[in-house]
Amino acid sequence: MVFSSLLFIFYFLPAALGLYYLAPRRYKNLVLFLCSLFFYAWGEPVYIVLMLFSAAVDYSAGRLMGKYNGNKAVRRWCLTASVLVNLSLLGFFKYADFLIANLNFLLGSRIAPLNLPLPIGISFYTFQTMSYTIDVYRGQTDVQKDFIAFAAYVSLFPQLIAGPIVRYSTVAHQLRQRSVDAEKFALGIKRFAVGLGKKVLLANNIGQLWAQIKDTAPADLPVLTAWLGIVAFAFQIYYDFSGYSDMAIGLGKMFGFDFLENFNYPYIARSVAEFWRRWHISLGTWFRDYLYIPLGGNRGGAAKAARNLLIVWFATGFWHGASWNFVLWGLYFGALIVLERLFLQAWLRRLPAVLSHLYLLLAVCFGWVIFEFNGPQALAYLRVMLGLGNNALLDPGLIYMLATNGVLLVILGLGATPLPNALWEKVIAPRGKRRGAVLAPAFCLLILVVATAYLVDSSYNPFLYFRF
Amino acid sequence: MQRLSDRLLITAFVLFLAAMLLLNIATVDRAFSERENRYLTRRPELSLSSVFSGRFSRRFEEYITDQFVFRDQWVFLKADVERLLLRTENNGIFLGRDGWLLENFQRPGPALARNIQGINRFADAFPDIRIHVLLAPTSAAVYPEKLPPLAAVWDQRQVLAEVAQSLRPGIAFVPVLDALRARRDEYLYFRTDHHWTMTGAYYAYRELADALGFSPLAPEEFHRETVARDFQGTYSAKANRRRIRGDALEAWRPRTPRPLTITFNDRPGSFDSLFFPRHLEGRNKYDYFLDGNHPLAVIKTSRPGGKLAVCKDSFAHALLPFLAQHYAEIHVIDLRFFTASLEQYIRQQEIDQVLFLYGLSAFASDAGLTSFR
Repeated sequence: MVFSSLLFIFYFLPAALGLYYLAPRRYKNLVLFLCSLFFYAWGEPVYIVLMLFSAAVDYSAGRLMGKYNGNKAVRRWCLTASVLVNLSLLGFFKYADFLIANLNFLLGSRIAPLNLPLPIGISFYTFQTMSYTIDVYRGQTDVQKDFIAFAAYVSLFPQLIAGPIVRYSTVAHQLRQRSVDAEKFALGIKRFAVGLGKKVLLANNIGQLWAQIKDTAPADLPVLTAWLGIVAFAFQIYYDFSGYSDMAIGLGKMFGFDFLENFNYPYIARSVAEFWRRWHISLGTWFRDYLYIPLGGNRGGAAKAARNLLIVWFATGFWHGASWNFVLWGLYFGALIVLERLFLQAWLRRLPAVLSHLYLLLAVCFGWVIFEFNGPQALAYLRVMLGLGNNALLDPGLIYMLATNGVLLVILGLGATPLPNALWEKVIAPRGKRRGAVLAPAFCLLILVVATAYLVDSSYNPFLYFRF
Repeated sequence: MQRLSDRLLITAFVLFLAAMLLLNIATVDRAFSERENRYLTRRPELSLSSVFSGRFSRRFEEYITDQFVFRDQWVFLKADVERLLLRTENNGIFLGRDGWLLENFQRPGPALARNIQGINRFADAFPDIRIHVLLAPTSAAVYPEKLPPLAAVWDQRQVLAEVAQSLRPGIAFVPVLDALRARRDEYLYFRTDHHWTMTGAYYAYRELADALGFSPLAPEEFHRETVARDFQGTYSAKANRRRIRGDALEAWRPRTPRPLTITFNDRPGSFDSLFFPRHLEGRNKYDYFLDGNHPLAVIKTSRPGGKLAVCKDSFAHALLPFLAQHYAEIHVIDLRFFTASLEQYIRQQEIDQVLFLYGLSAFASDAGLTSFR
């Protein structure tokens, strides 16, 4: 099930909220767990076993580590088992066919691919549960003795299938004790409505433009249309994914949880390193804390730091998908960050802000080309963008696209900056003013109503991060 | 003040969800949508196998979308918002000038080659039968000036040329685009539907005459009568605009009629007219011609002459009344639904000429229009 569906908003959510608030306090985790199982099982009932297995392994590993508190060998063994199980699950279900295809290519063998559908959310929940066992091993968090509480954490439907990657330590306290007051619940509704609007009204709409441009043969693509296309995709993936994170955070609040922010206006960054501190924050910090720093981080000299960075970025790219273009995409950003550390950052600081913004936006747009296409196609698209082919600069089709998407593009551009939010809080609906008290609920309801209209007449509602 | 605002928001949110939930549960499901002219998804059966295959959940989501309370109003609201965004297209339909709705004809998919292949396969099987192919362009190719400002569709002239090129030598491709363009000040296509009018079909019939070898009747030899005035076609159902001006539906009848009969393989009885007024009451008024889609219809006239088989989609329906003036028998076959062996049928009925007649849009996007046993 996805949040941006009539089924979720008008059937599942009212039912889950109703059950949750009717249930006595000590059964709330159980209700949440059962709701989450239903949420996950909808459409993919078989793989639920996998998630429960992962949860059971990590729960047991945690309990054992708790029991043999003084025994370092046992603790290490438990951690290894947990990490191995999670990575094997992920490796088998996500990467087996990729491995087979590469083996077949290298050795000329003819192993048949498994063609397993990717279990929904496996990239997210394996990382989440690993954060638990690693933190327990490091003594940074307490052992969870209540299996229902732990299972509720792993399966927590607001963040189950597309993140943010909520670490156990973030919600450990709230699993035991949490409360919702009117302010928190209202905040949850606001975040959910804003996220839904970003996804259904903005991302889906601009996604149609990208789908159309992506579908055009590179030879028939005017240069500026190619640029418009990749800008459209940059907007689509940002509003799609950050909208989903907003919905997750909002839903979390409705059930009493405070998740950390996952996006912070990434497109206003002035360097690639800054972009990644603002984009999919929960993934970046996960790799920083559980991979980069254990590898040695930036201690041990520039060469070692560069090596560590490239390992982390290889992993980050590979996490996004079992395909070489994602690896390349990760390494591309890794290389840029290494360069920024060496000298680029110093240059960028001295440049006027306009130029460093431009540098970042170009770097990211070229990155999205690598992300969206496999090798040869990406190269063909880049050639068009750089004007290396025999393509026209523009055509009447482009003018039509700009005219019919103009309003939307302006909204998308402004919405990617903190401007609308500041304007809202300072001018349109300041806190404490009567105007604000009415406008905020009215705006949220308007988004809900219009998004519903789009969902009822939906022909195009993909979800980019669904198969991660 | 903030507390008031929060309470207001929570109340509105909870009321909205609860109202929708209750209304959705309380309202009776509709079987058919007049406006969209299609059957709506009904509540799927719950079974262990359908749950585990994921079929149940897919169908259930279609079901709640189709049966969502106030469905038509939601759909109109979306179209209104699109308009605010200065969009001139909704669900692949352009909102053109002068009340015209036009289809955004896109680059043909693999279906095009498959459909051409079907015709070529037929030609291989029947080297001794004359085969003709007529593809009706969409209204956007005949009336490009009705498209909204700056809008453009994929070049249909080029697609038609490619089709003509890929057909086996000996198959006669009958072009009609230029003839239709030349008459574009007449009412050749419906403004709200993907079909041509009987007037449009008449000019295509004139182009067919040479190839098929008969001399066509002149327009003066027909009596023209408007039989319906508020036809809202398929484009109208997709564009979802409020207040779309309906089309008029006109029938052409020869002033000196010849007796004929038409029979269908899936409907009992024999009829003495190719027009079926009962459809003028419903939404899909185009079915007035030839009673809509049937796997097989046989038209017999009192006239001596040849036997024609027409493998077709619904574009043929407005044109067949003209062809009936020139043949002893016409066998009208819809290969999507015709399950018997076409090869046997053609031989048994001793057909001398075959016409493949389709709308280009369907021909370029629906595989299987021409596949046969």
